[in-house]
Amino acid sequence: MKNGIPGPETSGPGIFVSPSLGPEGIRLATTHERRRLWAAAGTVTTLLALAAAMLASNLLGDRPVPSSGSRLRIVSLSPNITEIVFALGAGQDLVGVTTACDYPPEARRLARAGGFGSPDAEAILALKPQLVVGSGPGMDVLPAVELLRRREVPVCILSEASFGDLFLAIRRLGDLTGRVEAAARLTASLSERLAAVERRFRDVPEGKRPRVYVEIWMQPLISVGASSFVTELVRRAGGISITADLPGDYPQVSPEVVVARDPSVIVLTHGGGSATAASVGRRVGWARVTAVREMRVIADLLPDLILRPGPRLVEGVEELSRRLYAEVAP
Amino acid sequence: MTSRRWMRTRALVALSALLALVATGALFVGTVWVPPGELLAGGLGGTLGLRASRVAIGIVVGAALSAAGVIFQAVLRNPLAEPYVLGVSSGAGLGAAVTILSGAVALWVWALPAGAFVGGLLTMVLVYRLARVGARVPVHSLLLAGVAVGAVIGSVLMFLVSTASVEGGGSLRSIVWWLLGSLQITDLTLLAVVGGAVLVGVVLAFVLARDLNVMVLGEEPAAHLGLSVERTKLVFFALGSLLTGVSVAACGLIGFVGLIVPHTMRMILGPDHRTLLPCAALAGAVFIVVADTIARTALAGVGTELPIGVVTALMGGPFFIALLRRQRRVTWS
Repeated sequence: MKNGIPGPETSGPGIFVSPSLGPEGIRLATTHERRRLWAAAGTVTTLLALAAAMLASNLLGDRPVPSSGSRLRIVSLSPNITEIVFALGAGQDLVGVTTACDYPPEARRLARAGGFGSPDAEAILALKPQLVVGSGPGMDVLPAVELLRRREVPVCILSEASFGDLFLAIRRLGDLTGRVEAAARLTASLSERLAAVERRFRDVPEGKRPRVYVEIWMQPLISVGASSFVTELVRRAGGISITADLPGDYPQVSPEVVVARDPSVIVLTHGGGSATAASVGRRVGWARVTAVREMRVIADLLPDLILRPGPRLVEGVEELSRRLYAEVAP
Repeated sequence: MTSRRWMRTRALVALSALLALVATGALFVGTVWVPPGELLAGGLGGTLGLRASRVAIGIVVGAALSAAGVIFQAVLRNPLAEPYVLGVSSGAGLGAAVTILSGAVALWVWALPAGAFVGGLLTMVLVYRLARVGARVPVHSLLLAGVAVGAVIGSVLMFLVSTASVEGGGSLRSIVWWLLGSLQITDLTLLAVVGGAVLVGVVLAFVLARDLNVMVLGEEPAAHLGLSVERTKLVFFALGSLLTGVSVAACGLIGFVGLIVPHTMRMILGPDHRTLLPCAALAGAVFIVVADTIARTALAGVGTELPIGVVTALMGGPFFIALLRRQRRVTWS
C-alpha cells in the first residue's frame, strides 16, 4: 500500500489480487472489497479447474477415438506407422501419409499431408481425420501436432526406442483400428522370426560375435548409440555394436574411436553413392581396420530395413544376421 | 635494417620450432589414448595417419586464414577485418548447404569442397562488383557491400537450413557441422591440392609484402609513392580470397583465427608486413593445431569431438571483446 504498490484501497480496473492472502487480509476488507475478493477467488478457482482439466486430459492420454461403424479416417505422421497400419490390414483406413511414406507401394497413392517431421496441419485438418498417429523423437512437441490437439483432433504419438516399443505400437494400433487379432498374429510371427534368428547364433560366445560399426551418416560420422533400436537390432542379429556404450540415439563419433575399436564388420546405411565399401577403404587411417582388411563392409542393405522401426525391422535383423554369419562360416 | 632482418629470422625460427613441437605433440593425444609405441608401430595406415592428416590440414588452414587476415586488415585498413569480412563465409556456407541438401555430396566426393569454394568465390566477385564506383573500389563501400551481401546470403542459408526436415536429419547435421568447421578430412588429394594452393598464396603474399606496408599508409600516400593502388588492391583481394576459399572448402568455417592471430603478432613484432605475414602464418598454424587438439580431446569421454569452430570462438571471443574495448578509446575523425 506504500511505495506505490496497489493495495485494497486503490480502486482500478482489472482483476484484483490481494497482496496479503492470509485470513487478516480478508477480515480487514470492506464489503466492496470483499466482493472483489470473491471475484478474484472465483477467477483463480476457474483457472485452477481449467488447469486441472488440462492436466487430467494429458494424464489420461489421448482423447477417445470416435467410433464409427464404417472405416476410420487415419492420418500417419511417420513412415513406420504407415507400414504398421498396412501390415495390420488397415491400409484402407489411412487417408493421409507423409512424403516419406513409400512402403508398401499402395501408400504412395495416398494423399500427402506434409513431410516426416514436418506435418502440414492444414492439409491434415482438410482430410478430416478421426485419428492422427505418429512416432519419433520430438514429434510430440511439433507446433503442428500441438495445433491438431487444440483443434480436438485425437493425436497419438508412439515411442520407437526399442523392439519392445515396436510391439507395443503394433498392439496399440491394433486396438485403435479394431484389429486386435491381426495385431496379435503379427507380433507373434515377428517374435517367432526373431527367435529363429537367435537360435542360429545362440551358441556363439560373446567374444566370437562380429563387432559391428553401423554408420548412418558421414561428414560427420554418425553412428548408433545406447538408446537406439538399431543397437538392439545389431544385437538381435548376433553382432555387437562397437558404439553401444555411447550416449544418446545417434551420436556423432570420432574416427579415432572407430579405428581404435576396430570393428570386424562395417554396415553403411546412408544409402546412395559416395560411401561405398571401396571409399571406406580409402579413408585416411582406416586401412588397418579389420573390416577393411577383410573386406567386410556391407553397403547394400536397404536402409529402411535397419533405420525404420516398422515390421520390416525384423527383415533387417534376418538379413543382417545372414550377412554376419554366412561369411564367417567356413 | 640488419637488426630488423635478424629479428625476423629469430621470430621465424622460434615459431617454426614451436610449430614442430606442437605438431609432434598433437600426434600423441586424441579422442582415444593409444600408447606411443603402439601408435608408431601402427604407421600411417592407423591412428597415427588419422592424426597426421589432421595436423597437416590444420597447419595449412591456420596459415592460410592468418595470412588472409593480415592481408585484409592491411588493404582495408580496418583492424576488425578478417578473412570472412567480404562475405566469403556466407557464400561458401550457401554453396555447402546447397550441395549437402541437393544430395550432390553422395554422388561426388569433391562436391562439398567444390560447392563451398565456388559459392565463396562468386560472393567475393559479387561484393567486388557492387563496391566498384567507376574505376575505383573504395574500401568503405567494399566493407558495406560485404556486410550487406553477407546478410542477404546468410538469411537464404538459414531458410535452406529450416527446410531440412527430419528425413534429411543427416543433412542438417552435416550443415551445422560444416558451419562450425572440422579438420576431419578423408581424402589426401584434397589435402595436397589445398596445401599447394596455400603455399603458393602465402609465398606470393610474402613477396608482395612491401606493397602491404605502403597500402597501410592510405591510398593517397600510396599512390604518391608510386604504387598502382587499384591494381594492388585487386591482387591482394584475389590472394586473400584464394587463401580463404580453399581453407573454407577443405574445413568449413573456422572463425577468429584470421582476426586474433594477426593482431597478436602485430603487437609482438610490429607492423612490418615482411615480418608480420610469414610469422602470422606460422602462428596461425600453431593456433589451429592447438585448438584442434583441444577439440579432439575435450569430449573424449563420450567418443566424439567438439567442432573446432567452437574452440576457436571460445578462445577468440574474449580476445575480440578486448579488442573492441581498446578500439573504443581511439577517436575516429
